[in-house]
Amino acid sequence: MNDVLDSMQRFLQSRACGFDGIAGDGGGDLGPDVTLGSLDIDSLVLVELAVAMERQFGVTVEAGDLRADQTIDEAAALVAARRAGR
Amino acid sequence: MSEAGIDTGTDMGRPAAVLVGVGAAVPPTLVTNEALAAVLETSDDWIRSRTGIRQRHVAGTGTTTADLAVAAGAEALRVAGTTRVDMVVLATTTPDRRCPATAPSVAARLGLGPVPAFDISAVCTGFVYALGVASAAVVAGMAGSVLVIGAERFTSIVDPTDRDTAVIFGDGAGAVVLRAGRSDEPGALLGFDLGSDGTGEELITVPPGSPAGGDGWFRMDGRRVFREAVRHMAGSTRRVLDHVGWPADSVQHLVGHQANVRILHMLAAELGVPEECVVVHLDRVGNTSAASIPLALADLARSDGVARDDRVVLTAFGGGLTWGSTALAWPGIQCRAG
Repeated sequence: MNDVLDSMQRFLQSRACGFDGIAGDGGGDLGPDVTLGSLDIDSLVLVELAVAMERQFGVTVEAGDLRADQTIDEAAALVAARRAGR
Repeated sequence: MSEAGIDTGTDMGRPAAVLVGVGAAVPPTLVTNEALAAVLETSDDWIRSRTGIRQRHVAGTGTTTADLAVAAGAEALRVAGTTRVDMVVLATTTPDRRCPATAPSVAARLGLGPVPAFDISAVCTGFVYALGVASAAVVAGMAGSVLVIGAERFTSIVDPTDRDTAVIFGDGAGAVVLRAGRSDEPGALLGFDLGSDGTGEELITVPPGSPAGGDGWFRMDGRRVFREAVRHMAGSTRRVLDHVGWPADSVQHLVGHQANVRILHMLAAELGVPEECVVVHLDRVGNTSAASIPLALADLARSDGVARDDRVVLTAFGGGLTWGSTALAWPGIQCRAG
């Protein structure tokens, strides 16, 4: 689970320019409780994140699996659960 | 050759279709992102950051798909140094008429005589499907040479007031000439992977039967299309590379369907192909559906960035869903505008 969370945070860090409340700090610390929808990213980044998670962890992640209302922690848990269920 | 006269593929290769000419045509009217931002709720920054597109060419009402196909086909024939072929295969989603097909008219206007000529409809995968069919006809001995064209007036089916699709698509045509040859020649199409999944037909569609009586406007589910495009182009490319025996990191020019630069970059990452090997032409012409790959090939041929024997992979994804890939060593043809 931690490796999925780390990887997800690194990917989002590479795409984010900042997020609500901490604008302009280059993404800052993307804590696990931050929702994906509050990040300063466009909607395609969640699809790119799904592609990256699928490639890295060998699980199937569809375009709608990662949603704006999820926290980073919840999204990472979803990917980790898929991996554990293989 | 073996004693039984069967080609073992060890000396001169096996029979193959060889690419010997390429051509392109776009209508003169250029529409920039700024021009779209003046009439739609969008901006140059929004379009470029999400798609990589800076501009597209748009055919006026006086320009047909056949007009674009004839212009691209004529250039491909000229580059190939020939005035005749044995077959014309035209990939399009936007034929000039529902009946008949556009290819016979194109063949007649190019002065090619009574050759077989037909259209193929596989949306953005259409050109790779057409290459596959043409290649099979050559290898089977049905045709010694084939003119393969991808041509679209795609803006004719896109709602000009829909900012999600109107900013993406453009019009144009690209063409190649194939002739019979051997698989060890540069330009030989070395293998194909073609596929479809009709359960995804609603993802990219022109819905039939609008209240007005005709078809509705083109529509697509952008996020799911993005996901499926990367998945299927990556899988198809891997299968072709396995067949040809090339490692992914040996590919020098990855010519993917020119839909979105972010799809192309995710595809390269997925395959392990260096990003600098991704051929990007969509910034200048947008997504031209079946014309996108031959337009990108013609642009590659006009550039100084490709050399004879360079490893080139073509891969496409489109409505259907459909996908397809092929591989070739670059034939060293030179293509100059004019």
